[in-house]
Amino acid sequence: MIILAADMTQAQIFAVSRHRLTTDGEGVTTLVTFNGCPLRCKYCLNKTSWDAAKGRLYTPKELYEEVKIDQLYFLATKGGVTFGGGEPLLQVDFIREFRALCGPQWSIVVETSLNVPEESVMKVDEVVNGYIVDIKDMNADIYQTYTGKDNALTLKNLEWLLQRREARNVVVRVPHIPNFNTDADVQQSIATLKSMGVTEIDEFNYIIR
Amino acid sequence: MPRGKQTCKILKEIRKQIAAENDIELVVSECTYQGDCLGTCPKCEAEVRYLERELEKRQRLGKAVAIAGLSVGMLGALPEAMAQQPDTTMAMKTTDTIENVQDEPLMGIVESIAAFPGGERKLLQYIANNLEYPQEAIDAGIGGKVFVRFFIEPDGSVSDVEVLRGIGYGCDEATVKLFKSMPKWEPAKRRGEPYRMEFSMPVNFDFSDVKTDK
Repeated sequence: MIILAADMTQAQIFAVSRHRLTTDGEGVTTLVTFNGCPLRCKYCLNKTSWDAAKGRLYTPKELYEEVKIDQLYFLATKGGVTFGGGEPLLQVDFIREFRALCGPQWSIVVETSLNVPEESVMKVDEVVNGYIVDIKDMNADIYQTYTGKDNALTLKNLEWLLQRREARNVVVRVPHIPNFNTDADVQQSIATLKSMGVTEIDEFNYIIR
Repeated sequence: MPRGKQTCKILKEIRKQIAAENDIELVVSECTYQGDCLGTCPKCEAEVRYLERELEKRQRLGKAVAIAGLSVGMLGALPEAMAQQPDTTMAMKTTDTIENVQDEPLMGIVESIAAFPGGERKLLQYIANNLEYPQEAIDAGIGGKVFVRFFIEPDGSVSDVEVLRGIGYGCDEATVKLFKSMPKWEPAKRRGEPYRMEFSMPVNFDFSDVKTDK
Protein backbone atom coordinates (compact mmCIF):
# COMPACT_ATOMS: atom_id res chain seq x y z
CA MET A 1 0.00 0.00 0.00
CA ILE A 2 1.23 3.49 -0.81
CA ILE A 3 0.77 6.04 1.92
CA LEU A 4 0.25 9.47 0.46
CA ALA A 5 1.69 12.57 2.06
CA ALA A 6 -0.32 13.69 5.03
CA ASP A 7 -1.59 17.18 4.38
CA MET A 8 1.67 17.94 2.66
CA THR A 9 4.34 17.10 5.20
CA GLN A 10 7.53 18.68 3.95
CA ALA A 11 10.99 19.24 5.32
CA GLN A 12 14.04 21.23 4.36
CA ILE A 13 16.92 18.87 3.62
CA PHE A 14 20.39 20.16 2.97
CA ALA A 15 22.15 16.97 1.91
CA VAL A 16 21.47 13.44 0.71
CA SER A 17 24.70 11.46 0.80
CA ARG A 18 24.70 7.97 -0.75
CA HIS A 19 26.82 4.88 -0.21
CA ARG A 20 28.11 5.49 3.27
CA LEU A 21 29.60 2.24 4.45
CA THR A 22 29.02 1.53 8.12
CA THR A 23 29.68 5.16 9.14
CA ASP A 24 26.12 5.87 10.27
CA GLY A 25 24.77 2.50 11.27
CA GLU A 26 24.97 -0.95 9.77
CA GLY A 27 25.43 -1.71 6.11
CA VAL A 28 25.19 0.62 3.16
CA THR A 29 23.36 3.77 4.21
CA THR A 30 22.20 7.02 2.75
CA LEU A 31 22.60 9.96 5.10
CA VAL A 32 19.80 12.51 4.93
CA THR A 33 20.43 15.74 6.82
CA PHE A 34 17.59 18.03 7.85
CA ASN A 35 17.76 21.73 8.44
CA GLY A 36 16.74 23.13 11.82
CA CYS A 37 18.36 22.48 15.20
CA PRO A 38 17.53 23.51 18.77
CA LEU A 39 21.22 23.61 19.73
CA ARG A 40 23.95 26.10 18.88
CA CYS A 41 27.10 24.04 19.40
CA LYS A 42 30.27 26.06 19.22
CA TYR A 43 32.04 23.62 16.89
CA CYS A 44 28.98 22.61 14.85
CA LEU A 45 30.03 20.93 11.61
CA ASN A 46 26.92 21.98 9.74
CA LYS A 47 26.15 25.52 10.79
CA THR A 48 24.05 25.94 7.64
CA SER A 49 21.71 23.43 9.26
CA TRP A 50 20.79 25.97 11.95
CA ASP A 51 18.62 27.85 9.50
CA ALA A 52 15.40 25.87 9.23
CA ALA A 53 14.42 27.78 6.09
CA LYS A 54 17.44 26.67 4.04
CA GLY A 55 17.91 23.52 2.02
CA ARG A 56 15.72 21.83 -0.56
CA LEU A 57 12.09 21.19 0.31
CA TYR A 58 11.10 17.52 0.08
CA THR A 59 7.95 15.56 0.77
CA PRO A 60 8.58 12.09 2.25
CA LYS A 61 7.57 10.61 -1.09
CA GLU A 62 9.99 12.78 -3.05
CA LEU A 63 12.80 11.68 -0.76
CA TYR A 64 11.75 8.03 -0.98
CA GLU A 65 11.70 8.16 -4.78
CA GLU A 66 15.22 9.61 -4.73
CA VAL A 67 16.86 7.23 -2.27
CA LYS A 68 15.20 3.96 -3.34
CA ILE A 69 17.75 3.76 -6.14
CA ASP A 70 19.94 2.00 -3.53
CA GLN A 71 17.31 -0.40 -2.28
CA LEU A 72 19.19 -3.53 -3.38
CA TYR A 73 22.25 -2.45 -1.41
CA PHE A 74 20.12 -1.61 1.64
CA LEU A 75 18.44 -5.01 1.61
CA ALA A 76 21.61 -6.99 0.98
CA THR A 77 23.53 -5.30 3.81
CA LYS A 78 20.68 -4.56 6.25
CA GLY A 79 21.36 -0.91 5.68
CA GLY A 80 19.00 1.93 4.91
CA VAL A 81 18.62 5.57 5.72
CA THR A 82 20.20 7.55 8.53
CA PHE A 83 18.50 10.82 9.34
CA GLY A 84 20.80 13.47 10.76
CA GLY A 85 20.96 17.20 10.76
CA GLY A 86 20.36 19.55 12.20
CA GLU A 87 18.04 17.69 14.49
CA PRO A 88 16.03 14.93 12.79
CA LEU A 89 13.62 14.58 15.68
CA LEU A 90 12.17 17.97 14.77
CA GLN A 91 10.84 16.11 11.70
CA VAL A 92 9.09 13.17 13.30
CA ASP A 93 6.00 13.23 11.05
CA PHE A 94 8.26 13.24 8.00
CA ILE A 95 10.21 10.22 9.27
CA ARG A 96 7.03 8.32 10.12
CA GLU A 97 5.62 8.91 6.67
CA PHE A 98 8.93 7.93 5.13
CA ARG A 99 8.83 4.61 7.02
CA ALA A 100 5.33 3.97 5.74
CA LEU A 101 6.65 4.44 2.21
CA CYS A 102 9.85 2.41 2.46
CA GLY A 103 8.31 -0.48 4.39
CA PRO A 104 9.76 -2.42 7.30
CA GLN A 105 12.84 -3.86 5.60
CA TRP A 106 15.03 -0.78 5.47
CA SER A 107 16.94 0.17 8.56
CA ILE A 108 16.18 3.69 9.76
CA VAL A 109 18.62 5.24 12.22
CA VAL A 110 18.42 8.72 13.70
CA GLU A 111 21.46 10.71 14.72
CA THR A 112 20.04 12.97 17.40
CA SER A 113 20.82 15.13 20.42
CA LEU A 114 17.55 13.91 22.02
CA ASN A 115 17.09 17.53 23.13
CA VAL A 116 13.51 17.54 21.86
CA PRO A 117 10.07 17.17 23.47
CA GLU A 118 9.43 13.70 24.90
CA GLU A 119 6.45 13.16 22.58
CA SER A 120 8.77 13.44 19.58
CA VAL A 121 10.93 10.57 20.84
CA MET A 122 7.88 8.45 21.63
CA LYS A 123 6.45 9.04 18.16
CA VAL A 124 9.65 8.34 16.26
CA ASP A 125 10.48 5.30 18.37
CA GLU A 126 7.71 3.33 16.68
CA VAL A 127 9.43 3.51 13.31
CA VAL A 128 13.20 3.57 13.83
CA ASN A 129 15.68 0.72 14.26
CA GLY A 130 18.33 2.53 16.20
CA TYR A 131 19.72 5.73 17.59
CA ILE A 132 23.07 7.45 17.50
CA VAL A 133 22.86 9.90 20.37
CA ASP A 134 25.16 12.91 20.38
CA ILE A 135 25.32 13.42 24.11
CA LYS A 136 28.00 16.20 24.14
CA ASP A 137 28.77 16.06 27.88
CA MET A 138 26.72 14.70 30.77
CA ASN A 139 27.70 17.64 32.96
CA ALA A 140 24.83 20.12 32.75
CA ASP A 141 27.06 23.19 32.98
CA ILE A 142 29.43 22.05 30.25
CA TYR A 143 26.48 21.12 28.06
CA GLN A 144 24.87 24.52 28.60
CA THR A 145 28.09 26.39 27.81
CA TYR A 146 28.81 24.35 24.71
CA THR A 147 25.31 24.13 23.20
CA GLY A 148 23.50 27.13 24.66
CA LYS A 149 20.81 24.85 26.07
CA ASP A 150 20.31 22.71 29.15
CA ASN A 151 20.34 18.92 28.89
CA ALA A 152 17.34 18.01 31.05
CA LEU A 153 15.27 16.80 28.09
CA THR A 154 18.21 14.86 26.67
CA LEU A 155 18.66 12.92 29.90
CA LYS A 156 14.96 12.29 30.34
CA ASN A 157 14.64 11.01 26.77
CA LEU A 158 17.73 8.84 27.08
CA GLU A 159 16.36 7.24 30.24
CA TRP A 160 13.05 6.58 28.50
CA LEU A 161 14.83 4.98 25.54
CA LEU A 162 16.99 2.77 27.73
CA GLN A 163 13.94 1.49 29.56
CA ARG A 164 12.19 0.65 26.33
CA ARG A 165 14.97 -0.37 23.98
CA GLU A 166 17.70 -2.95 24.11
CA ALA A 167 20.80 -0.94 24.97
CA ARG A 168 22.60 -2.16 21.85
CA ASN A 169 20.16 -0.14 19.74
CA VAL A 170 21.27 3.09 21.36
CA VAL A 171 24.81 4.14 20.48
CA VAL A 172 25.94 7.13 22.52
CA ARG A 173 28.70 9.33 21.15
CA VAL A 174 30.86 11.05 23.75
CA PRO A 175 33.19 13.70 22.32
CA HIS A 176 36.34 15.24 23.70
CA ILE A 177 35.51 18.91 23.08
CA PRO A 178 38.60 21.14 23.10
CA ASN A 179 38.33 24.02 25.59
CA PHE A 180 34.96 22.80 26.89
CA ASN A 181 35.58 19.47 28.60
CA THR A 182 38.59 17.61 29.95
CA ASP A 183 39.54 13.93 29.73
CA ALA A 184 38.28 13.57 33.28
CA ASP A 185 34.92 15.08 32.28
CA VAL A 186 34.65 12.62 29.41
CA GLN A 187 35.44 9.67 31.68
CA GLN A 188 32.86 10.95 34.15
CA SER A 189 30.25 11.13 31.35
CA ILE A 190 31.08 7.57 30.29
CA ALA A 191 30.80 6.29 33.85
CA THR A 192 27.42 7.97 34.30
CA LEU A 193 26.17 6.60 30.97
CA LYS A 194 27.28 3.08 31.90
CA SER A 195 25.49 3.36 35.22
CA MET A 196 22.34 4.26 33.28
CA GLY A 197 22.67 1.07 31.24
CA VAL A 198 24.32 2.37 28.07
CA THR A 199 26.52 -0.32 26.51
CA GLU A 200 27.39 1.15 23.11
CA ILE A 201 29.67 4.12 23.73
CA ASP A 202 31.62 5.84 20.98
CA GLU A 203 34.31 8.06 22.49
CA PHE A 204 35.96 10.36 19.98
CA ASN A 205 37.79 13.66 19.49
CA TYR A 206 36.44 16.79 17.90
CA ILE A 207 38.99 18.04 15.44
CA ILE A 208 38.90 21.80 15.22
CA ARG A 209 39.87 23.21 11.86
CA MET B 1 43.03 3.34 -2.16
CA PRO B 2 40.91 6.52 -2.45
CA ARG B 3 37.58 6.34 -0.66
CA GLY B 4 35.50 6.45 -3.84
CA LYS B 5 37.35 3.52 -5.38
CA GLN B 6 37.05 1.56 -2.17
CA THR B 7 33.27 2.19 -2.09
CA CYS B 8 33.02 1.17 -5.76
CA LYS B 9 34.86 -2.07 -5.05
CA ILE B 10 32.62 -3.00 -2.12
CA LEU B 11 29.40 -2.16 -4.00
CA LYS B 12 30.62 -4.27 -6.92
CA GLU B 13 31.22 -7.21 -4.59
CA ILE B 14 27.67 -6.83 -3.24
CA ARG B 15 26.29 -6.90 -6.78
CA LYS B 16 28.35 -10.01 -7.55
CA GLN B 17 27.04 -11.74 -4.43
CA ILE B 18 23.42 -10.95 -5.28
CA ALA B 19 23.96 -12.22 -8.82
CA ALA B 20 25.68 -15.42 -7.71
CA GLU B 21 23.11 -16.21 -5.02
CA ASN B 22 20.24 -15.80 -7.47
CA ASP B 23 21.87 -17.50 -10.43
CA ILE B 24 22.03 -14.33 -12.48
CA GLU B 25 24.72 -13.95 -15.07
CA LEU B 26 26.63 -10.76 -14.37
CA VAL B 27 29.75 -9.95 -16.29
CA VAL B 28 31.79 -7.45 -14.32
CA SER B 29 34.68 -5.77 -16.04
CA GLU B 30 37.48 -3.99 -14.23
CA CYS B 31 36.98 -0.25 -14.09
CA THR B 32 39.77 1.61 -15.85
CA TYR B 33 38.69 5.11 -14.90
CA GLN B 34 41.60 6.98 -13.31
CA GLY B 35 39.98 10.17 -12.02
CA ASP B 36 38.14 10.89 -8.76
CA CYS B 37 35.48 8.25 -8.24
CA LEU B 38 32.29 8.96 -6.27
CA GLY B 39 31.85 5.26 -5.58
CA THR B 40 29.34 4.80 -8.34
CA CYS B 41 28.98 5.69 -12.02
CA PRO B 42 26.45 5.14 -14.83
CA LYS B 43 27.94 1.71 -15.51
CA CYS B 44 27.61 0.64 -11.85
CA GLU B 45 24.06 2.01 -11.72
CA ALA B 46 23.14 0.15 -14.90
CA GLU B 47 24.28 -3.10 -13.28
CA VAL B 48 21.99 -2.47 -10.31
CA ARG B 49 19.02 -1.83 -12.58
CA TYR B 50 19.86 -5.00 -14.53
CA LEU B 51 19.91 -7.00 -11.29
CA GLU B 52 16.56 -5.55 -10.25
CA ARG B 53 15.00 -6.53 -13.56
CA GLU B 54 16.45 -10.05 -13.39
CA LEU B 55 15.26 -10.51 -9.81
CA GLU B 56 11.79 -9.37 -10.73
CA LYS B 57 11.79 -11.77 -13.68
CA ARG B 58 12.69 -14.64 -11.35
CA GLN B 59 10.00 -13.69 -8.89
CA ARG B 60 7.46 -13.56 -11.69
CA LEU B 61 8.39 -17.13 -12.60
CA GLY B 62 7.71 -18.16 -9.02
CA LYS B 63 11.37 -18.58 -8.09
CA ALA B 64 12.61 -17.57 -4.67
CA VAL B 65 14.93 -14.58 -4.58
CA ALA B 66 17.61 -14.13 -1.95
CA ILE B 67 18.67 -10.62 -1.06
CA ALA B 68 17.98 -9.83 2.58
CA GLY B 69 21.16 -9.66 4.61
CA LEU B 70 23.16 -11.43 1.91
CA SER B 71 26.17 -9.13 2.13
CA VAL B 72 26.14 -8.23 5.80
CA GLY B 73 29.51 -9.85 6.48
CA MET B 74 31.18 -7.90 3.71
CA LEU B 75 31.15 -4.63 5.59
CA GLY B 76 32.84 -5.92 8.70
CA ALA B 77 31.45 -6.89 12.02
CA LEU B 78 29.59 -3.88 13.26
CA PRO B 79 27.32 -4.38 16.26
CA GLU B 80 24.03 -5.94 15.36
CA ALA B 81 22.71 -2.82 17.03
CA MET B 82 20.72 -1.50 14.15
CA ALA B 83 19.64 -4.77 12.60
CA GLN B 84 16.44 -5.39 14.48
CA GLN B 85 13.16 -4.92 12.75
CA PRO B 86 11.27 -2.02 14.26
CA ASP B 87 7.67 -1.94 15.28
CA THR B 88 5.74 -1.07 12.20
CA THR B 89 3.65 2.04 12.00
CA MET B 90 -0.05 1.87 12.37
CA ALA B 91 -0.46 2.62 8.70
CA MET B 92 1.68 -0.36 7.74
CA LYS B 93 -0.17 -2.73 9.98
CA THR B 94 -3.19 -2.26 7.78
CA THR B 95 -1.32 -4.10 5.03
CA ASP B 96 -1.81 -7.30 7.01
CA THR B 97 -5.19 -7.49 5.39
CA ILE B 98 -3.87 -7.69 1.83
CA GLU B 99 -4.74 -11.12 0.54
CA ASN B 100 -3.28 -11.11 -2.93
CA VAL B 101 0.31 -10.97 -1.78
CA GLN B 102 1.88 -12.55 -4.86
CA ASP B 103 0.54 -9.68 -6.91
CA GLU B 104 2.56 -7.18 -4.89
CA PRO B 105 5.55 -5.88 -6.82
CA LEU B 106 8.99 -7.15 -5.87
CA MET B 107 10.39 -4.90 -3.14
CA GLY B 108 8.33 -2.02 -4.43
CA ILE B 109 10.05 -2.07 -7.81
CA VAL B 110 7.39 -0.85 -10.20
CA GLU B 111 7.50 1.18 -13.35
CA SER B 112 5.14 3.78 -12.00
CA ILE B 113 2.74 4.11 -9.14
CA ALA B 114 -0.79 5.37 -9.68
CA ALA B 115 -1.04 9.15 -9.76
CA PHE B 116 -3.75 11.74 -9.50
CA PRO B 117 -3.92 13.92 -12.64
CA GLY B 118 -1.27 16.60 -12.12
CA GLY B 119 0.40 14.80 -9.22
CA GLU B 120 0.24 14.79 -5.47
CA ARG B 121 0.07 18.54 -5.04
CA LYS B 122 -2.98 18.66 -7.33
CA LEU B 123 -4.56 15.87 -5.32
CA LEU B 124 -4.13 17.81 -2.10
CA GLN B 125 -5.46 20.91 -3.82
CA TYR B 126 -8.46 18.93 -5.07
CA ILE B 127 -9.17 17.70 -1.57
CA ALA B 128 -8.83 21.19 -0.10
CA ASN B 129 -11.20 22.64 -2.71
CA ASN B 130 -13.82 19.93 -2.63
CA LEU B 131 -13.95 18.59 0.90
CA GLU B 132 -17.14 19.63 2.64
CA TYR B 133 -16.68 20.34 6.32
CA PRO B 134 -19.92 18.98 7.84
CA GLN B 135 -22.01 21.55 9.69
CA GLU B 136 -22.33 19.04 12.53
CA ALA B 137 -18.54 19.05 12.99
CA ILE B 138 -18.35 22.84 12.69
CA ASP B 139 -21.03 23.25 15.36
CA ALA B 140 -19.21 20.84 17.67
CA GLY B 141 -15.77 22.37 16.91
CA ILE B 142 -14.45 18.98 15.77
CA GLY B 143 -11.23 18.69 13.77
CA GLY B 144 -8.54 16.09 13.13
CA LYS B 145 -7.45 13.49 10.62
CA VAL B 146 -9.57 10.87 8.89
CA PHE B 147 -7.41 8.00 7.65
CA VAL B 148 -8.85 6.63 4.45
CA ARG B 149 -7.91 3.61 2.36
CA PHE B 150 -8.79 3.17 -1.27
CA PHE B 151 -7.74 1.38 -4.44
CA ILE B 152 -6.91 2.70 -7.89
CA GLU B 153 -8.19 0.18 -10.40
CA PRO B 154 -6.40 -0.61 -13.69
CA ASP B 155 -8.84 1.74 -15.47
CA GLY B 156 -7.89 4.58 -13.07
CA SER B 157 -11.14 4.63 -11.11
CA VAL B 158 -11.21 4.94 -7.33
CA SER B 159 -12.79 1.97 -5.55
CA ASP B 160 -13.34 0.32 -2.16
CA VAL B 161 -13.02 3.55 -0.20
CA GLU B 162 -12.90 2.74 3.49
CA VAL B 163 -12.25 4.82 6.61
CA LEU B 164 -9.49 3.16 8.66
CA ARG B 165 -9.72 5.62 11.53
CA GLY B 166 -12.32 8.33 11.67
CA ILE B 167 -13.30 11.28 13.82
CA GLY B 168 -17.09 11.13 13.44
CA TYR B 169 -19.47 14.09 13.24
CA GLY B 170 -20.03 13.46 9.53
CA CYS B 171 -16.34 13.87 8.63
CA ASP B 172 -15.87 10.18 7.79
CA GLU B 173 -18.84 10.19 5.40
CA ALA B 174 -17.66 13.45 3.81
CA THR B 175 -14.26 11.88 3.16
CA VAL B 176 -15.72 8.75 1.56
CA LYS B 177 -18.03 10.88 -0.58
CA LEU B 178 -15.12 13.00 -1.78
CA PHE B 179 -13.01 10.02 -2.81
CA LYS B 180 -15.91 8.25 -4.52
CA SER B 181 -16.56 11.28 -6.70
CA MET B 182 -12.91 11.84 -7.54
CA PRO B 183 -11.77 12.01 -11.20
CA LYS B 184 -9.92 9.02 -12.64
CA TRP B 185 -6.21 8.59 -11.83
CA GLU B 186 -3.36 7.37 -13.98
CA PRO B 187 -3.17 3.71 -12.96
CA ALA B 188 -0.03 2.03 -11.64
CA LYS B 189 1.95 0.19 -14.29
CA ARG B 190 4.27 -2.75 -14.19
CA ARG B 191 5.94 -3.90 -17.38
CA GLY B 192 3.58 -1.56 -19.22
CA GLU B 193 0.49 -3.25 -17.81
CA PRO B 194 -1.86 -1.30 -15.53
CA TYR B 195 -2.63 -2.97 -12.23
CA ARG B 196 -4.62 -2.33 -9.07
CA MET B 197 -2.85 -0.38 -6.33
CA GLU B 198 -3.80 0.25 -2.73
CA PHE B 199 -3.37 3.64 -1.11
CA SER B 200 -4.01 5.22 2.22
CA MET B 201 -3.79 8.80 3.36
CA PRO B 202 -4.91 11.09 6.12
CA VAL B 203 -7.41 13.79 5.26
CA ASN B 204 -7.16 16.80 7.51
CA PHE B 205 -10.23 18.53 8.84
CA ASP B 206 -8.82 21.79 10.14
CA PHE B 207 -11.48 23.84 11.84
CA SER B 208 -9.44 27.04 11.56
CA ASP B 209 -9.58 26.82 7.75
CA VAL B 210 -13.37 26.81 7.61
CA LYS B 211 -14.93 30.04 6.56
CA THR B 212 -18.30 30.50 8.24
CA ASP B 213 -20.63 33.43 8.62
CA LYS B 214 -20.63 33.01 12.35
